[in-house]
Amino acid sequence: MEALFATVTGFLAASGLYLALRGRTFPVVVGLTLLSYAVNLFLFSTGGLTTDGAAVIQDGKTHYADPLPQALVLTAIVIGFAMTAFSVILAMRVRGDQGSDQVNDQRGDEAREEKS
Amino acid sequence: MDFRGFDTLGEITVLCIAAIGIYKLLNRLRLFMPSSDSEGRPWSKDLHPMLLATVSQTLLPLALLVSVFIFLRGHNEPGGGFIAGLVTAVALILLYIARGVDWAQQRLTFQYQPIAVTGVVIAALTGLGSWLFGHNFLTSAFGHFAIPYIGEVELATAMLFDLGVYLTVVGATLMILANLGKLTTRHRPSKENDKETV
Amino acid sequence: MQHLIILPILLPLFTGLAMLIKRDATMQPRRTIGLVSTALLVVISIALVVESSHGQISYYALGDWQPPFGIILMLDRLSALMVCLTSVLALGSLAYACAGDDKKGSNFHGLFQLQLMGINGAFLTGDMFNLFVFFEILLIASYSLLMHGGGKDRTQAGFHYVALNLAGSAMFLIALGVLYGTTGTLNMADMGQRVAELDPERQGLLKAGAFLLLVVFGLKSAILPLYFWLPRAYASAPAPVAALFAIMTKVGIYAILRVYTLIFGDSAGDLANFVQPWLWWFALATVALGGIGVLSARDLRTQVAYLILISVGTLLVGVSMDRVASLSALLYYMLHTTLVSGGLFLLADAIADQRGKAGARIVPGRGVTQPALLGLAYFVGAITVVGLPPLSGAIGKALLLNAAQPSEQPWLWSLLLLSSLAGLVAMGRSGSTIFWKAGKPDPEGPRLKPSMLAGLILLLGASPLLAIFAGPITEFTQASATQLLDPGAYTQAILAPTSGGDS
Repeated sequence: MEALFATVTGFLAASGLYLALRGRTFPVVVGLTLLSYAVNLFLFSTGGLTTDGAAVIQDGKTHYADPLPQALVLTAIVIGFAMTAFSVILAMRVRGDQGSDQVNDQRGDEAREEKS
Repeated sequence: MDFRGFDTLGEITVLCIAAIGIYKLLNRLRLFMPSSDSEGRPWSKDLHPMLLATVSQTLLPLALLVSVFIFLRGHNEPGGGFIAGLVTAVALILLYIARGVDWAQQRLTFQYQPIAVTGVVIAALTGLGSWLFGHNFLTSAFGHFAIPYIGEVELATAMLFDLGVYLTVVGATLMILANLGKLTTRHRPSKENDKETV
Repeated sequence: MQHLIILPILLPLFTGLAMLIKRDATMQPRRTIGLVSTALLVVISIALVVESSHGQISYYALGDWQPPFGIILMLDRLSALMVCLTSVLALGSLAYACAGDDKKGSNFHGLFQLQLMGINGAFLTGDMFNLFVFFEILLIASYSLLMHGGGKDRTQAGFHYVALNLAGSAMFLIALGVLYGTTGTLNMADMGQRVAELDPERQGLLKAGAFLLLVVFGLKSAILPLYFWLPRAYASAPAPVAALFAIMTKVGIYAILRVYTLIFGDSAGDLANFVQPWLWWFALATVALGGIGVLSARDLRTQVAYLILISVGTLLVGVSMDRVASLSALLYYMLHTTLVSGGLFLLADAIADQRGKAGARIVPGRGVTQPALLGLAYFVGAITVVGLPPLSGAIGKALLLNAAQPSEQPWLWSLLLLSSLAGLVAMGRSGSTIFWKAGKPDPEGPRLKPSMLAGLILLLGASPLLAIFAGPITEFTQASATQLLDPGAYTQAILAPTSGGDS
């Protein structure tokens, strides 16, 4: 299971990184989202991978999973959700203000140079 | 609330700020609505198909019931305020999609920002409550109460905290999605009609 | 008082929320509430400084979960000092904002308070993951504040800033995962103890995590290869927000200082102080590049942003030298540079406001309406920011230069002094262009409102005060540095139950 988990996480992170380096805003946002998924998976695994372990102490259980990463990853997911929502809307705003979805809009830069 | 309760308070604060920030961003943003897809075929004229409208309305009470269930079982088992809040928000958003902003706006007359903010306030006040008993911020207390006909119920301050989480999630999600959906309608968020938008 | 430590977080939280509940309330009560609350924050933070000055490290266990299991807030001299600095800076920027900048968009005051909550929380927390949460609070609030008022420049600079910081947050989580996976704890003091006892086989992994963390904090503090977002974001932000952002880079520096003295400090065995040599070269390069940037800037705001870059480099040089004298000097310099560069952002905005179309660009244009007042403020600001005597900049730089050992002197002295010279030339040139090559001012033009003036005086006036009270302040920073370099005291105070703080 460890190998599969590591491969999936790594693949997600690599895809996310590739997309985040693209020149248009939408792939960048998708890439950052994938990256945050990969990170959440990774964070989840830091307590060690256990199957069918109990997170809370119960009678008759001897096999436990580490509860802390689960609590952490929940927080990380919610924060990631908020950040993704914000960046999506920001990308729309960039599109609306500049009429293009390039991350580095050169036209905007030239206009500024002329002004100054 | 468990031992990472302070993190949870932080996370709902982030959610609440994100919703408010997004509202700021959407202010006076103009987007045009394409009348046809990339191959020139016009979009369907039927904006609010009857099937979806009927289903969504039947679904709403069921979804609310499910969210209450998830909320209540969340204390000791998987579930809790966050997921319950998402279920509620999705059910309400479905109404917007099925019936359009005008229809939904007439029926959902409350504003969303106060709900999101009130959620964080409730959660934070719950934490503050432990000061009264000489404990540190966010110390949890619980007790078992016998309620007639229902039986013994465990009530904890964590429930109150979770209620705050629930309200924040519902308020913030609706504030983001409803305002986003309004961009192409006359209810677009802008300075002039600041009072009537949610 | 038992709950004093958490007040700098709760007070802005509740104030901010109260102001956010209703969106369309009138402006005046909000301004009053915001100012009163921030002033109260200054009082609280002074109480914290007094409390910490006894030299005891105290902690506040949230939810009564004792360390190392629960989240704790930690108060030592350094965190008290940083909270105090934040609140003074915030009071100045808020006073300036109340003159009209707050009306340019919705919800300014509420977001401003929540931003303060995030910054204070980051300074006070003693838990790695909680540090991440507070980082996110201050970031999301800063994104929203950066967009305050709208405009093309802002959205694009904002997108760069947001995208870079999202990537930074992802790396922060990876680093946290590695640190938690190897040490099994999130409490900083506990982590420091476990790092020393770590199995040598896992040290490589831990080292990778620590370097990753350095990249994240480097991004926040804008060290050399990671600074590209700073000049544009700061130059396009609304002035009071830019002034408050002067503390944001310091949050990164604080985090570096905290993590690499407490966790990877002297007691960390094989991993003790391993990042400092790396930091040395990057910090020096940042100083050099900041100097070039200052000379190349064609806009007053960009110029101040590059001056911030120089100060970041200077501060990090202090971190990398890692001894009591250098840390003490850097803390003094941090107080000075944060307040003064915040003040300069406000000043640049006031100048741009009064010059009409010429704005903040460094070209001959219409004169300012109040040349004597703004000219004097610019003079004071310029002298102190480049480090000419008799003001606080000179004292801070001299302390730092003095802390260098003979082997470090050639690099540090030459680069730091050259960058100061570059700053002096640039500030002199832009000052003479703006104030002397100016045309006739518009007599009807906008004048400084009383609250703007109050904000300016508070921030720029801090410089002479810092110089006058240099004695007691350096005493305090020296004690803070000594405390920082003794990680054993932290473990003792936080983990040993007998000598615990006031929990």
